[in-house]
Amino acid sequence: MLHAVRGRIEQFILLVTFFMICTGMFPIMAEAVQPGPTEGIQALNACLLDAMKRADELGYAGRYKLLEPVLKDTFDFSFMGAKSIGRFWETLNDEQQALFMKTYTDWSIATYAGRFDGYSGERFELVSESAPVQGIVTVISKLIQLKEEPITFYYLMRMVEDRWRVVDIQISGVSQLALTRAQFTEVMKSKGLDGLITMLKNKTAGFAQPKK
Amino acid sequence: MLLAACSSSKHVQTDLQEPPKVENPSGETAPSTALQSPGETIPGFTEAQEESVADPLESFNRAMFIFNDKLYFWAMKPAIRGYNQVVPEAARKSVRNFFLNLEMPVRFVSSLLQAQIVAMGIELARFTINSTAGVAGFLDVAKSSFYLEPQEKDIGQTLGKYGIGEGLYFVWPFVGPSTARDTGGLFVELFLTPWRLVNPAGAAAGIGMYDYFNRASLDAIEYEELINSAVEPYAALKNAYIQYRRNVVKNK
Repeated sequence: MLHAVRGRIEQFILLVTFFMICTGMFPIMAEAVQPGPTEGIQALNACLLDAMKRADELGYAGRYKLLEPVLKDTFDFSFMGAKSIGRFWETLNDEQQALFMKTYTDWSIATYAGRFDGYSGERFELVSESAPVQGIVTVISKLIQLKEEPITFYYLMRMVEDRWRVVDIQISGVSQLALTRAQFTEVMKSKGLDGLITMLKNKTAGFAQPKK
Repeated sequence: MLLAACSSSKHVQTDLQEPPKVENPSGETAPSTALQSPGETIPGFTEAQEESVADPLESFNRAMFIFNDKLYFWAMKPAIRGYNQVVPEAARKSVRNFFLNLEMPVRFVSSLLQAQIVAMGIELARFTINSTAGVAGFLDVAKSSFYLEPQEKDIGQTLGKYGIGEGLYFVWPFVGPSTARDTGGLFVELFLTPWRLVNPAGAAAGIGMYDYFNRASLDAIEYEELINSAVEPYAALKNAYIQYRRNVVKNK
C-alpha cells in the first residue's frame, strides 16, 4: 500500500517537473542547456589553444577541421558577412548572396586556421562580461604571451537562434568588422562581386600554403 | 594593429558618435553598440566610421603606400633579419626604452595640454626613475618595478581633444599613414624630442633612422600580419589607422 502511494507521488512529481520544463516554468534547468557569452568565448579560446598546441600535428587542414564547427557556433557569420559588404548586400540576388556567404565563411575560418599555427607558451584569460546594452554583451578576453605584451580582445556578442554569438571583435579600438567592411566595399566599388570572390578565394588558398 | 587642415574635416567630426561604454567589474572600459539601424544593431562602429576621412590625394597616397610597402618587404625586412641575428631582443628593447624615455617631453606636454595631472605625474616619475635607476633609460624600471606605464599621449591626439578635425588623409614616405592633424602633431613633436634637435641635422636624421629601424625590428610583425591577411591592404591600413587614432582621441 505504502509502495503504491510512494509510486504515485513519484509519478506526480515527475509529471509536474516535466510540465514545468516544457512550459518554461523551470528556468534554471532550461537555461542551463544554453551556454552564456563567457562560456562561448571560453570554448573558442580552448579550441584555439588546442589548434595552436597541435599546430604541426594537425597541419592547416586539420586546424581548419577542428576550428570550423566551433567558429560556426561562436560567430554570427550571416550577420557579419552581410554587414561586411555594406549597401552592396541588398543589390545581390539570392544566389549571389549564398555564394558570397559561403566564400566569406570559408575565408574567415581559413584566417584562423592560417594564423593560429604555432604555440609559444601562450594562454587565454577571461577578464569580464558586461551587462547587456541594447542586446549586446561584451566579453573581454586576453591573450597572454610570454615575450610580447598581452592582446586584449573585446568580443561583442548578441543572442542569435538561442545562442550567444560574436558579431564583432575589437582590438586596440579597431573594429574588425569595420576593418573588413572598409576593404570589401572598396573592392566591390572597383571590381564588383566577382572580383571580391576571387580575392577572397585567393586569400583562403594562400592560408593553406606553408609559410615561407 | 597600426597607424591628418582642418577645414575639410568638419564632416568627419559630425559623423563621430561616442559609443556608449560599459564599465566592467575589472574596471576596464568596453566598447559597446554604436549604431542602431531599423531592425538591426551594428555593434562597435558607426556607418560613418568606414569611409569618413577625406582622401582626395588617393593616387599619391596609394603610390606612397606601395613605396613604403616595398621598402619594408624588399629592404627593411632582410636588414631586420640580419640585425636580429646580431643584436639580441633584450638589447633591442633596451634601445627602444632609451628613445622612449627621451620622448618623455612629448607625453608630458600633451598631458599638460590635456590637463591630465595624473598622467603628468606618472611621466615625470617614469623619467626620473628610468633616467637614474634605469641606466639612462635603457631599462624601464618604472614599469617593471613600479607598474608605471608610459602614457599614450601625443600632440595629434591633443589637437583632436581640442576639437580639431582630422583633415585629409596622407601616406607619407617612411612615416606611413597619417592625417593633416597628426602630421601637424608630428611636426610639433620634432621640437619636443631633444635628440631630433642634435646638430648637424644629418646626425639627428641618422639617430632617427636608427630608432625607426630598431622599433621596426620589434613591432613590424603587426604590420606584416595586417598586410598579409588583408584583402585590400591600402584600405585596411587606412581604416585601421583612422579607427585607432579616433580611439586614442576618444579615450582619456
